[in-house]
Amino acid sequence: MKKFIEFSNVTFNYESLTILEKINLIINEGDFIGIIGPNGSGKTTFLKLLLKELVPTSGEVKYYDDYEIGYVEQLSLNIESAFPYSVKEILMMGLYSKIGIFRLPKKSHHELIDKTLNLIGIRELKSKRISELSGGQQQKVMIAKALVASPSLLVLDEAFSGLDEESEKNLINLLQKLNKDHKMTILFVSHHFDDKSYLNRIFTLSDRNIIEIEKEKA
Amino acid sequence: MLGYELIRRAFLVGIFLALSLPLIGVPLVLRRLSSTGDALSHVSLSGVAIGLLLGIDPIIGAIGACIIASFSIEGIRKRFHRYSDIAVAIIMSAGIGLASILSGLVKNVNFESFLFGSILTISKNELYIVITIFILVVLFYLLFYKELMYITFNETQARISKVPINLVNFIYLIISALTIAVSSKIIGALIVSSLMVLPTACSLLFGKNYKQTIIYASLFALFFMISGIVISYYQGLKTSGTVVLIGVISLIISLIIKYLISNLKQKNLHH
Repeated sequence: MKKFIEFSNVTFNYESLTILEKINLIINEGDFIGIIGPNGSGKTTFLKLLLKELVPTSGEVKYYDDYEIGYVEQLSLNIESAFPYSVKEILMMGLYSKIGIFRLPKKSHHELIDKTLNLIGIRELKSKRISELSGGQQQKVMIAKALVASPSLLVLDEAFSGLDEESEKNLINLLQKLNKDHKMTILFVSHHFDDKSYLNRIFTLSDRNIIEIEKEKA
Repeated sequence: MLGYELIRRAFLVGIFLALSLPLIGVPLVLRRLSSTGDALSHVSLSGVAIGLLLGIDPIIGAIGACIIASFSIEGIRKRFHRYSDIAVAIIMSAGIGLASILSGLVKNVNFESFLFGSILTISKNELYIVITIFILVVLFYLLFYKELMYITFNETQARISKVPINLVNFIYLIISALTIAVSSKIIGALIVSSLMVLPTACSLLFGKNYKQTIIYASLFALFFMISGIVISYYQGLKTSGTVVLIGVISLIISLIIKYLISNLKQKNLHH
């Protein structure tokens, strides 16, 4: 198995408070990991360390390559009624690293956007303003944005909140397919998983630590 | 009225500023930093006073003060992460305090013209400075449109997508400071931020996407500026105040139109 990202002895303190302590974790290529983290368990801090938004107080978070990362945040993104971005523009931002600085999008980029919107089933929303959409639709747009550049690592933070059961099922099927066929490494953080069958590894965050639990016992 | 050199110059300067200010203003408003514009324009007053005291061009003084202030705001913002808006308040207070003391030391200058601007008495040099600012703003947009749009949308996501955030923010900060400093001197420190905020507010009501919002904001600003200069000329009113009030009235009319349109749409949906 190829190592993807490694946490070695990662501790994070906020002022005098220890949020996470001596975390050791290896994420391998092709993993579909579920992390169960109740509110206040240091979930957000863990994600920020993973995405290098925060620097550990001690220890190291090591990336084994320069990955394309897709990140779907909790819907608390606060899209207000005045926010003027169209769905197409948002997906175009998802393609930023593919387009590159000082360059204009090409036809192939527009085609990728159409393809991804079809995949998620929201083609008809392409020219809509994000603020006009329902919470569930907004969440689908953000998932499409995260997927449009075919990331090698997809990080989901409570990504299915606000979605109806059928959409959730469809998206899980899609993620399983991407994980199997394209070896996309997926890390899904949530306070609760109804269905754990699609995860190949499960961790829980509690007492400032992260522990892998055997799938059968989860 | 276009027969007068000064009026022609006022029109030119007005048009270039009306096109520049919303380009700076839309991202500022969307990032909830519109009060930064206000703080910088007030700080520019102390820059003007320093310039007058030292005997250098007040515009240069204003530019210097604005650049220092904008970096100070960023610095304080990082220290007080959770209460980042106090940065703006601190710098604004410092700017106003300094300006009020320094303006008392400056003799034989009508300081009021810096509060409310003097678009009808623009020098040739000032015209050139405004054109330079306009070119810089447009150039910045041509080079970093995608980047600024992404950072404005969501800084975390932009960083993960490897957008050079620090570089783009740095240039944006300097260009904003330049634009606000120069505009403060010309259309008045008290009025600059309204020319960033009002066109943005109007365009947010009608723009279907980010690009349209930017274009509409510039068109709104252009309309406020040109009609403001014309009406103030014929009615003998103060120009900057007229421009701003036209902006406010346009926003009110826009809100009513928007309300009527969405009501009509809902009625059509029910039929």
